[in-house]
This record gives sequence, structure tokens and C-alpha cells, in this order.
Amino acid sequence: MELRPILSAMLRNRTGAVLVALQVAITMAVLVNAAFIINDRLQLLAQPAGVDVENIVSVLIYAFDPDYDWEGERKQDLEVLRNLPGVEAVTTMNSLPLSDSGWSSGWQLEDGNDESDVPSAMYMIDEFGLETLGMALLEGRWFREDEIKVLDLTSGSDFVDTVIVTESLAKKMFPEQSAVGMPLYTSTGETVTIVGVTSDVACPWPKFAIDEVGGLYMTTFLPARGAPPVARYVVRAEPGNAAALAAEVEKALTGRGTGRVVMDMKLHTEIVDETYGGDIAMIRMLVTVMVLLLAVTSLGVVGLASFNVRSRTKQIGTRRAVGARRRDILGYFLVENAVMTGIGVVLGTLLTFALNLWLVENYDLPRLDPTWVPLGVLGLLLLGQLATLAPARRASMIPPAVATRTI
Amino acid sequence: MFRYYLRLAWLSIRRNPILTALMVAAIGVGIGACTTTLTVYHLMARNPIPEKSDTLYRVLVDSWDPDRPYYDGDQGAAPPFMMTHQDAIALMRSEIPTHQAAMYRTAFVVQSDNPEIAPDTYSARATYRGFFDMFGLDFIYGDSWDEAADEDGELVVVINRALNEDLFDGEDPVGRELKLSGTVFRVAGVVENWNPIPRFHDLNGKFRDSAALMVPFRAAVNLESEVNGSISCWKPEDINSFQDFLNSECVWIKFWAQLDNPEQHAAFMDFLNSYTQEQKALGRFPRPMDNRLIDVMNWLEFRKVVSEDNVVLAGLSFLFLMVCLLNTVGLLLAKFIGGASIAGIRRALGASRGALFRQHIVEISVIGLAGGLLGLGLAALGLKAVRGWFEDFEKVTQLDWSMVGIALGLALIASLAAGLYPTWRVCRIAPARYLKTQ
Repeated sequence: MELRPILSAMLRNRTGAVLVALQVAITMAVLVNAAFIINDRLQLLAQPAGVDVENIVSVLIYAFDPDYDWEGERKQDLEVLRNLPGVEAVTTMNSLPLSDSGWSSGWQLEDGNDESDVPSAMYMIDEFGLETLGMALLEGRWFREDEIKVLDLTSGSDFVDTVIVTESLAKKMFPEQSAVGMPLYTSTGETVTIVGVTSDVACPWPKFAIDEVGGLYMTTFLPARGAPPVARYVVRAEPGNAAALAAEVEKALTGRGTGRVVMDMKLHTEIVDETYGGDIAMIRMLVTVMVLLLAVTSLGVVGLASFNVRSRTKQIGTRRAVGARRRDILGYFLVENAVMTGIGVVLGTLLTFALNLWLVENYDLPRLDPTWVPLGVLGLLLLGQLATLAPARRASMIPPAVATRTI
Repeated sequence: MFRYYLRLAWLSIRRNPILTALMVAAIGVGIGACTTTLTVYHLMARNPIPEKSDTLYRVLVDSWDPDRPYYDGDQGAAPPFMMTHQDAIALMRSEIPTHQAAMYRTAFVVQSDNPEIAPDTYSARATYRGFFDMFGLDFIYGDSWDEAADEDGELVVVINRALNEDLFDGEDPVGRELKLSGTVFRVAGVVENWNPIPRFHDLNGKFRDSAALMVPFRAAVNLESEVNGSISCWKPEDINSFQDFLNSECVWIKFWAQLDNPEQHAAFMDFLNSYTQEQKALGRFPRPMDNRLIDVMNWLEFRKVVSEDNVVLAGLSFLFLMVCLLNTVGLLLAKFIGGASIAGIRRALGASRGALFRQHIVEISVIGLAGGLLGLGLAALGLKAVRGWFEDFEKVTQLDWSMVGIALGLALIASLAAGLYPTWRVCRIAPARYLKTQ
């Protein structure tokens, strides 16, 4: 295939080539950066919660009657829930992993030393917490019934004596030795002992974890329950049964007890989706933009190529008449597109990095991984070839007789 | 002449229906994407209270930790966004602002006398009477509570129209009793639903509805009503009762003041500064003095109400529109050059270049407007889809008239810009060349 005639033909009609090249360049910059942002969000979404999210159901009890029997009603509620068919385990918690709302505080490794403070997310949970959430106990033991205290964050109360920490937090605080048995101190002078270490469980705030507690898995469990008026029951369903069980749980709870409202019945998966709502929407919008962009660019290439084929019918006929094969005509259009797209992707590579630089400078987005650029280059070259294929085939079907007919 | 050009445009469009459809589609998709992201941006970035936004100030005083600032992000160090209880109470005593109100969000279970209405939880704002005048809420029935109710924490409540319709069928409920979480309140008034978007006075849930219940701040505190919002504490303090919590250095109260002129602004700032000095003498406020009065729009900007994602999306969709336009330029060029022989004949028969130019501009405008209308339809679909994807988008995905205008204008300008070069090219052709080939 001779490149020279193609090039000289393009030089005679520069505008068309420039337009295609520019289009390809901007398309590539947007596609690669959008794909990179999507990948970044997918990685955020893929971080495991460390608990059996798929099978967990959560519901809130809001007690409003001043005479409400907080302790008694809770015991009965939990009893009722445990007896529901399809329930594996039930616990009470103040908040759930990846729910975007919860309590963070810190532990001092040395009593009274502010500098030794290690921040952590705090989950209040009871003796059934381990089997309900489904993480693994790596060392020590889980809480016993007699350790569970009532904690009120705004009114204060008797503090807990024991805590259980995640593997990540244990390693951060005691890199050299086992954390079990070690004492921790609060800034107000309380002392607790670590009695167990579990596999990693995520804190409530996946997006602020680094700022809040220094990492996603810096988590402590306290053997405690919240004070009135709000209690959260967490139910683990038999595998695959959560959605059906949720309705049963709500019915069982609304069916008994007065002076309270049963609210926010949700699957843990729904809660996590709400936390990531903005990111999921961003991913969907970017995917939409990418698909539309691909459609517009390829339709544009098809349109232009078709037009060229039509306006060059006579010349093609002439070429065929003087001995060019169908292959040659097909090749001509494909090579022409490859040259235009080629210029486009060179320009596009520069534009891709420029756009990424702007995003990194002005917005909280990561620097582009350069290995994504060749993917974009190959993808667009392929797109150009595919879009040209149909018009080019039509061109190659033009019979040589056309040349004689219209002169 | 204009009608003649329209007819020529129609003929030209019919001559090349596929090419024309491609152009309309390209412009439509580009405008649709831009209008969708711009609408979200425009509604997120809008002024929620345009008539007074530059006289309403969020009040910040720096009572935070001597060792580290409350906020130290990309906007520099800043004092706590919220206030301690003792500071809020002290600042409420100032008589300088036209109106002022400390506030926090809580929730109550509303129990109706009507057995058919099941008890349900409602968000409530614990605040001062200044809230109503400062933010310009309209009363349908009754009025705000009086100063004594603020002082004594009287059990009175103002509800909004929506809740009044649910509870009292929209009739005048003033003076009637309403049980909130087991405590009997007296209804003082009903306000028109007031849901500024973004909810500037409480950005915890910035695109959500405002509270349906409003009660005196002191009444809520006396009932030890829970705080539904952030509580941030820095000082190790033994908190053994709600009173200890109120006396602590924990911040959780939002404070707004209306300052109508620079003198008032300066006087209130002086008041804040002398208050800070007093407190420093008492051993509080260990940080360097940093009191701030931030008006509504600056507050929204400081708190980044328009999320970065939406700015990025708007930017990307403009690049997308550019691709669509380049596309259109290419297609127009092809179309016009393809029709050059006709243009040549028109020139030869005496049409001036100007006439030819106008004729093509009319044709482009028709295509542009068609693209704009298609874009509006696509934007409506896009906004509907986006609304379903994220709860926070519900209030910021309504296509309004200003956006319709912007979309059509943008389509017209964009298509004219795209059409300029092809038109110029077709006007420059030498008629003789085309007469020859016929």
C-alpha cells in the first residue's frame, strides 16, 4: 500500500483530517480520564467491610414513651427475633460498618500521655456480636454477657473494662507482641484491657477513614449498649435470605410493644449503597458519557467516510478501471483513517495527560497510571478502523464501469 | 426572504436526511449531556436565600484545642464550624444583630390524638424565635413563640404546612396540644413549607428537607433531646450527665446572625472579640483569636456544597459537547461542499455572497434548534435517570426555565460556531467551476 497518494490527498483536504484528529484527541482524553476515575471509584467500592454484609439486616427502635421499659422490651425483642425462622444470630450495635455515621475516639497506649493517642472507630456490641457480624476471632475471646455495660455518650456512665480490637489496629498499637491482655487508656483516665483480636472490620466512614481514624480498619469493639431513646438491632439471616427476613423482622417488631416506633428497616447492602451513593452515581454518569462519546465519535467517522466515498465515486471507479483491486480501495480508506486517527491519538496522549494534570491540581483525583494511555491509543485506532470498515467496503464494491459512465 | 431561506433549508435537509439526522443527533446528545450536568451544578451552586444571603452570617468562634486547629484542610486552618453550648448561650445575649438564632437538629416522635395516625418520627429544629424572621418563614396560622418562651423553654411548637395537613387536615391548630416523644407541646403557629436548597443553615444533609417541627432551644435542651448532627470534642472531660455535656467544650450548635450593614457587622465582630478576650481570661479559648462571620454564599463555598464530582462532570461534558461540535463541523462541511454545485448555480443566477451566507446560516440555525430540542428531551431523560441513582440528587435534578433557555441558546450558539467555517467555505466557491461540470 502506497502511503504517499493518501497523504497528498489528505493535504489537499486538510480540514476534514484535522477535524477527525481533533475529535479523536478529545475523545481519547475524556475516555481515558473517565475510565481512570471509574476504576478509582470501583476500588473504593471494592474494599471489603469485613462482615457478612450480604446477610445482615438492621432496624432501629425509637422509644418515645417516658414509661417505656427500655431493658425489658429489648430483652423480649431480641428473644422474639432469635425465634424467627431464618435468623442465625442477633446483636445490638450503635452503628454498622460502612454506614457513614458512627462514633470515633482514641486510645492512649500510655496512661495520661496525649502523644500516644491512637484513633479508632468504636462499635458498641453485645455478646452475640461475633456470630452476628461473621468476622473471625483470631486471638483471645469474644465478650461475655456479664461484661456488657450501658454507655451514654452525652450523659456519661460507667465505662467498659474490656475491649476487642481488629487485627490492623492491634498491629498498629502493638507491632512487636500480642495485643491480648494489653491495657489501653482513655483521655479521661479510664483503663480497659484487650481481651481479643478479630479479623479486620471496616469503620463507618470509608471516605473519611484516613482523616478520622488513620485507616479503614482501625476499629474497636466495646461490650456495651446505647442508652435510650434509640436502639439498633442487627440480625444475621441464613445465607441468601436477608431480603425476605427483613419483612418478617419488621412485622415481628411492629407487632409487639407500644410507646415506640420501629424504623429504618434496611439491608446492610442498602446501607452500604447509600454510603457510596454519590460514587455509584458518578460511575454511572461517567459510563453514560463514555458510551455516548464513543457513539458520537464513531458515527461521525462513519458519516464522514460515507460522504467521502460518495463524493469520490468517480475517482474510485477510475482507479478500479485502471487496475486497482477491491483490496486496494478498501485499504485506501482504512489507511486514510489510520493516519488521521494516528495524528489524533498522538495529540490525544498529550491532551489526556493535560486533562489529568488539571484534575489532579484542582480536584481530589489521583494521578493517571501511564499504562492506561496505550490502551486508549489502541482502542481508538481500532474504533476508527471499525467505523471506516462499512463505508470502505461499500467503496470497494464500486464497479469500474462508473468511471466510463459519468464522463 | 427568510421564509424562502427556510424552504431552501428544508429542501437541503431533505436532500441529505442521514447526514442531517447525524448532525441533529450529535448536537442533541452534546447539549443533553451538558444540560444534565449543568442543571445539577446550577441547582447545587444556587443561592438558597437570594434576598438576604449577604446579610446572613454563620458565626464561628475558636474555642478549640490549643495543639491543633479544628479544620486544617485545603482551605487553610479554620475554627470549629459549630459552637459549644456555653458560647451559644452567651452570644444569644448580644443585642447587636437584627436577628440571631442558635440551633441544633433533633427528632421527636409525634403522637396524634387521632388513632388512625400511627406515631412517627419527625426531624425537629431546636432554635430561637429569631430563626423565623431571620430566614423569612411565612406564617399561615399563629405566630412564632415569644421571648419568654425562649427564656423559659416553654413547651410550644411551630409546625410546617405539610405536617399540619397530616395532623390537623390543614385547619388552624393554634393553641391545640401536640404530644412530642411523650411530652405535651402547644402549637404556636404553622409556617409555609420552607426547604431551601441547599439547606444552608444545616449542611448535614444539604439537599434534604428542613425540619417539620420547630421548638424553643431551651425546651429541647431541658428535655435532653438527642443531638442529630455532629458532636465534636477535643478536651478530655468527665461527662457524667447531660448537664456535664452542656458545660463541656464539645461543639454541636450552629449559630446564625443577621447583620444588615457594615457598622452592625463591625460592632458584632467587636463583641465576639471582647467575648473571646473575657473567656481567655477565664482560661478558655486557648488558641489564637480567630472569630469569623461568613455570609451564606461564602459559607456554601467554604463547605464545598457543590461536590467536586459535579464540577468534574460538568467539565467533561463540555469536552463532550466539543467533540459533538467538531463532529458537526465535519458533517456540515461535507454537506455544504456536497451541495456546492447548487450554491454555484445560485451564485451564477445572481445571488450575492451575503444571500448565500444568510441562507446557510438559516439552515444551520434550523439544525441547531432541532438539536437543542432533542438535547432538552435527552436532558429531561438524563435528569430522571440521575434522580433515581442518588437520593441527594432528588432536589437538584429539576429542569427549570432558565436551563431550557440556556440549553436552546447553547445549541444555537454552538451550531452557529460549528457552521461558520463551512459557510465561509461554501460562500467562497467560484460559480464557474460548478457550472462546467453540470
